[in-house]
Amino acid sequence: VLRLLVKLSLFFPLVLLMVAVNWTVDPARLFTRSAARTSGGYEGEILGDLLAGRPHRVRGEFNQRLVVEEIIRARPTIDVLVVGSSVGKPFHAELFPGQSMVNGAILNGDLEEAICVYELAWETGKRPKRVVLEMRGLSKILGRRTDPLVMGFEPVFDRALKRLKVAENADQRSVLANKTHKELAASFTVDHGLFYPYDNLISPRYLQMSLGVLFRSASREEIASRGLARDLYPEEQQHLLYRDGSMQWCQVLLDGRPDVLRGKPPGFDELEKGRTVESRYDLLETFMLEVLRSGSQMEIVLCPPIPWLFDAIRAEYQDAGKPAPAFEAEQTIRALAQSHNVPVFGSFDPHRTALSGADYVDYTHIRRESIGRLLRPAERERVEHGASRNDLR
Amino acid sequence: VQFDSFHFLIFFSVVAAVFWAIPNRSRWILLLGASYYFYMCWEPPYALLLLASTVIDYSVGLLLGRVSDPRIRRRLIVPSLAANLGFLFYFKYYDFTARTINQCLGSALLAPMPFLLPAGISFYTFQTLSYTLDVYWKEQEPERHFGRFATFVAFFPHLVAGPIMRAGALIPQLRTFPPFDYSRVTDGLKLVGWGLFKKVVIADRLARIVDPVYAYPAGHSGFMLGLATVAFGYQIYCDFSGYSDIAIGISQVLGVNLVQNFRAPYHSRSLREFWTRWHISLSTWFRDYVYIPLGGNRVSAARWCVNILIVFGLSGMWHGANWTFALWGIYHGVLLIVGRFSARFWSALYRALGLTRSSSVALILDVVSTFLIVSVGWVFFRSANLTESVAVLRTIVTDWKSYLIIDSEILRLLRTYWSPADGAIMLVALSILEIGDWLQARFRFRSWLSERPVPIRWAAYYALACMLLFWGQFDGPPFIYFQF
Repeated sequence: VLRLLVKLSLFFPLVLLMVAVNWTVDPARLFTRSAARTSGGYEGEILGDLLAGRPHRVRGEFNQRLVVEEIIRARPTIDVLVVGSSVGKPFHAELFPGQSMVNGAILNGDLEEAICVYELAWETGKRPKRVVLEMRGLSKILGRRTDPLVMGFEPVFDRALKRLKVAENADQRSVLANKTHKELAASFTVDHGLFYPYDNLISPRYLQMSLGVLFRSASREEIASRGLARDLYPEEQQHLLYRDGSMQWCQVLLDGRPDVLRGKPPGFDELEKGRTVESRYDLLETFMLEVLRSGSQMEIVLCPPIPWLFDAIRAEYQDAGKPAPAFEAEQTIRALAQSHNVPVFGSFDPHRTALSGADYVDYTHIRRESIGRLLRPAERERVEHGASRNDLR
Repeated sequence: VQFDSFHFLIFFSVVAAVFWAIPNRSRWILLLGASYYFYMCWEPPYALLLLASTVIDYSVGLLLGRVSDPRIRRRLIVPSLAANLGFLFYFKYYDFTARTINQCLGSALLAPMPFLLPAGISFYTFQTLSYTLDVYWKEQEPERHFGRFATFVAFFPHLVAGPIMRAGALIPQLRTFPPFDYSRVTDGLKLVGWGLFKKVVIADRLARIVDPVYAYPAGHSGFMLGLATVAFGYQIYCDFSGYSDIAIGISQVLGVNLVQNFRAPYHSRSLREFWTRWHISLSTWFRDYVYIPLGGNRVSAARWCVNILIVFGLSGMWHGANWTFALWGIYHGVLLIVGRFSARFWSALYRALGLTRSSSVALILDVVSTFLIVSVGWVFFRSANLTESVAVLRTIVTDWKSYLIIDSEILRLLRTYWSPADGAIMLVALSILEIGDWLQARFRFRSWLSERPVPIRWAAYYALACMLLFWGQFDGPPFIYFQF
């Protein structure tokens, strides 16, 4: 046994080298203290560009809460606030001419982050005239959320839940308020393992990432002076962030042809997670009522996945003799919206919108030039229902 | 718990350390507990299914051991067969049957099954079936120790994807474990390293070209489909034989020998030889429990053909509940039959060309033609349905222009799926695989390497470790055979 241990220890230098590279390079800033974890002041550089009216090429990770909060704070008034996930990120000011528009959609975000951004607007004294909630049709929609909040939003979500009295009004909401955090914490631990983040010190994947960053960097000094987290992405993978908070996708995505290069659709089990649960339905309704009570208009934009993927999912569910969760969710959202007189734009069914496969940069994200089409049919619909065009603008 | 995960590294290190630290007589308890933990990490309730299968076969085995009347013995074996095949049918084939019936009737008469397919059900069901049949045929004494029998069924290294072990080969090893043997343990670890290389360096990188092409075959040229099909041939070989190597290696560390499952199958000179080198434990299972009871080759030529088609049809369906798998099996069966009856023709043709079977040219012709025949079969195996497999084959054959002119679209697609670095890594890795397989078959390379001086040995070990670290795709798909 001793001989075996001695022989195995001969691999120790390799392990040590891996630990040293991962610890030193640390491209995702896993081993720095949480306060400095995100980007080492990179947000300041982003905001410097945006507030000066220049678009900024996103070179690495950044604290989205800080940036959105500052964009909101810098506006004297906000007419239109777009909230939602990355799919909503291309909604831009030209779609709302003559109005002060802020795109507060969050990459990797969901309903909870949307509520947080609205809360940030409320806390900074801004009352948007319109709140546009983007919801995407290839996610959990109103299914039980198991992934954690986007980093930095946890305290805002806590404050929002308290202000909206979610915790005090109903049992289900209490479950959401209290249990969500536990569930999120649990899922975070499960996702990252018991030894997170230190298990990444001996992770070959992290080593490959570190080496990739090292090879892209000019010199060791440059790494030390600039901080790597903000230079994580090569040029072709850098999205362009505009002063209104909207985004233009990076070159890799713009060159992508998701209508031709098809991947494997998500599995049945993954899609089943999109079945609506009561707690999140309640959360959506509470949010909707809060926006309406505060005197703002609320609109919902349903963003569909790329048509071929939608068709594949629909066929799979038809074969199984079950309704697809996205269909159910759309019906639920429409019924809820109708009961509060909230207009719904778009649809989770791409064939009911003016979008085609060429309008996508991947299976869910829509091109900046095309996303406005989601608003048009609904606009007509709204006009037909008696609302004036000025209401929408 | 995937074999290539951090979780498994911790799990196995703890199990191995405790295994060698505790007394010999308690080791089966550790292995049983570890095996159930391993299985429950995936879907805990399905451990009950494993337990039910174990209890039924253990009880039937004991009863068969006490009864000698053939009529009663025949009645006794029925519950075991019904339970094992019933579980297998319900979880694996019910949806397929319901879908087929619904399609035939044009209605939704039968509802789909609400459960996931339990991991490894095909493997452990066949293993327990073989035990009961061996006891029934009096080729195996019934195991009286329930814990040891449960360990035989659930032994974690081979629980979810084989190799399928016979009771006669595994249970005696679980009674008394051999003392710690340095050479055996290090040989096992080397095999684990080699298996990981096949899985994370080759199979998972090949998946990056196979998956997108087969996800949308209609959008790809004949060249791309041909390339993806050949790539899939290597992907499935490296994925499955990699799993088998890891399973055999970790068992060896724990003092248990599992049977060899692959012997460089793409070096076969005929389809018949291929089936003696590919998934050996399943081939021999079908040979012993289906082919020989059907009469084997001691029957008329016509009956033999039927037997071969039955065996290969069942073998195909064992892989999955889809007509594509059945067709894959039947394709191999038909070609084996053709091969048997055309053997004289090929010998005569070689003689006419002035080639002897032992010549290098004949060897290359045989190996390449066998590889191509097997590759065509992979189209059925990999396609989503029969229509798609026919369309893929048609494009591969008719779109011959794409082989002659590698246009910008093909280059763009190749670059989308693989960077130039990926291509270079793949070439090096596949060369290492082929040379490694050849050296192992010819010179027992791993044993030879163990006897070299320390600097040579450690240079090889370090090279393997560096390839794993720098080239491994540690976020790749799970092992392909987990779904079976």
